[in-house]
Amino acid sequence: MIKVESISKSFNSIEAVKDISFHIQKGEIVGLLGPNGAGKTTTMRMMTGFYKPDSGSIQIGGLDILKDRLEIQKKTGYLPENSALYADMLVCDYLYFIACSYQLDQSTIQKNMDYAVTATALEKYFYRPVAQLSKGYKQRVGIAATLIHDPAILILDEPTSGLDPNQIAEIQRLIKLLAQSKTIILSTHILKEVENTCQRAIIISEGKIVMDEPLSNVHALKKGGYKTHLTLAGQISGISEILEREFREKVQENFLENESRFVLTASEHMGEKIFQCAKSNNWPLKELYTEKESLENIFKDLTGGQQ
Amino acid sequence: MSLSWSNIRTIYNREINNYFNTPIGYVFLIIFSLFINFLFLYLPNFWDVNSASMENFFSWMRIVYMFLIPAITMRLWAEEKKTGTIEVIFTMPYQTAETILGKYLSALSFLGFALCSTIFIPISIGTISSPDWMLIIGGYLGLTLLGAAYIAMGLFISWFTQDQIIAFLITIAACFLFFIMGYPSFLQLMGILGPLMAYASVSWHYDSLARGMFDTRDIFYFLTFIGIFMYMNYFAIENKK
Repeated sequence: MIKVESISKSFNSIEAVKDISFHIQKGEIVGLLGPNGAGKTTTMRMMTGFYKPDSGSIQIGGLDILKDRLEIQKKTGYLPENSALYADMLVCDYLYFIACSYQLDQSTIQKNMDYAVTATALEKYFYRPVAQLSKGYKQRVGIAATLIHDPAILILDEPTSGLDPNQIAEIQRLIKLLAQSKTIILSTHILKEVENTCQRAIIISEGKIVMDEPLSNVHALKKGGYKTHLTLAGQISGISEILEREFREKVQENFLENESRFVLTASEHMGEKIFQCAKSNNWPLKELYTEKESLENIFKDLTGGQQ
Repeated sequence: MSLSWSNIRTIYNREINNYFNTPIGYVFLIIFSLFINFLFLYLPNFWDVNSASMENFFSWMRIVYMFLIPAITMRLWAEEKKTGTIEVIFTMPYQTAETILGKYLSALSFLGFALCSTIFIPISIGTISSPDWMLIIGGYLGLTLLGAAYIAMGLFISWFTQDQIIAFLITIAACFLFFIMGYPSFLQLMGILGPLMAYASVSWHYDSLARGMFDTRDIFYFLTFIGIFMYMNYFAIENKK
């Protein structure tokens, strides 16, 4: 559905995007991840026709962005960063203006406005001035505007930026709902957002793609996909050696005043096996839990620790 | 490239509403109307001149335009850039020329409202005496074309900044430059380039129309002036993409 081939974009002498390529299939939800200034917004702006790529090509639904910009823009809905809206307008007027911009007929405008307003729960705010809305509701108006012409593709630039945790959860719920019928590309530097909403992550750093994998593969990318934390009462030596011998994995140890802590990193969930080992050796078990290697660690490794 | 009038109208409606969505547009027109009528009646005192002429009015308007037009055009692109709505407008299926024309025509309409607010001046003169109507029509045509030219220039200048005040000040300077270019003291400094500068100046052509002389060359000049700045605006936007 979307083919991005070797696109590059420079501003004066600064290369914002360097030879980026990826393909997105119909119905995918893809997270464009990267630290601030990585090139996510520039990539998205090229996909929406706001910028022209210096080199490379972008095809959406078989159309080329340089030759068929207007047709592509009719098929895509774009939410700019910081939900830029005309603050002097009422919500209803703003959405009507957006609908008219897509040259929809009056009956379609009415139907699509009803859908967009219901999907984003804006009914109570329909006749309010945009300037008086909270950031969360402005973001909703921005998303409603992207839905007004019922596009097949949504491109959302940092849709939860600057929102409080409740608003973030609401927007993420909305994105998941929309994903049932649309192809969605969203950019963010919040890793949890990608884990919560996307099927695939493309990590960009310094204008280049450093990882492009389905999320299900991401955790398996690193050798240690799971970390099991074991805490025993008192200072006990020799535990690490037993664990390393038993499970053939590296163990980190840390001795505190009244307890000993061990972390075993493995590619599979080891919690139950370690519990059985502790039980058979009569270790004074204080705490035992396993956590998945987070996307955050992978992100830090790939982007050199930038956030 | 075929332009859609429906798209131009959508942009036009959005822009013209922007002038009147807040009280600023109305306040602006009221103050302008009061100010211009005061200038006409009291500087110099209309009742002492003893002549049914609007020469004084058309003379003052040349100066007033240097501040009025920049105030109308300063926000057209600068505000969009500052608030980020430039991304909204340029990611919707509009051709660049449609957005420029929509904005241009909205500013021209607002100027039209401002000029309409002065209409009681010729009506008043007409009721108390017999003015030369050709002079008045010529003057208004000159004002319309001068305003249309300055708006094209102000719109172009507004593209280059996010700051409305900077756009306002640069447009004042540009209006002043194109105006002063036609004055003898300036032309003397230009030497052999003098005649060329005189022809390029807006005052030279405006004064001709305001004297009631309908010369197609003056109209051609203003239309060319508008076309050049509109094209430069188009080129500047496309170049930025």
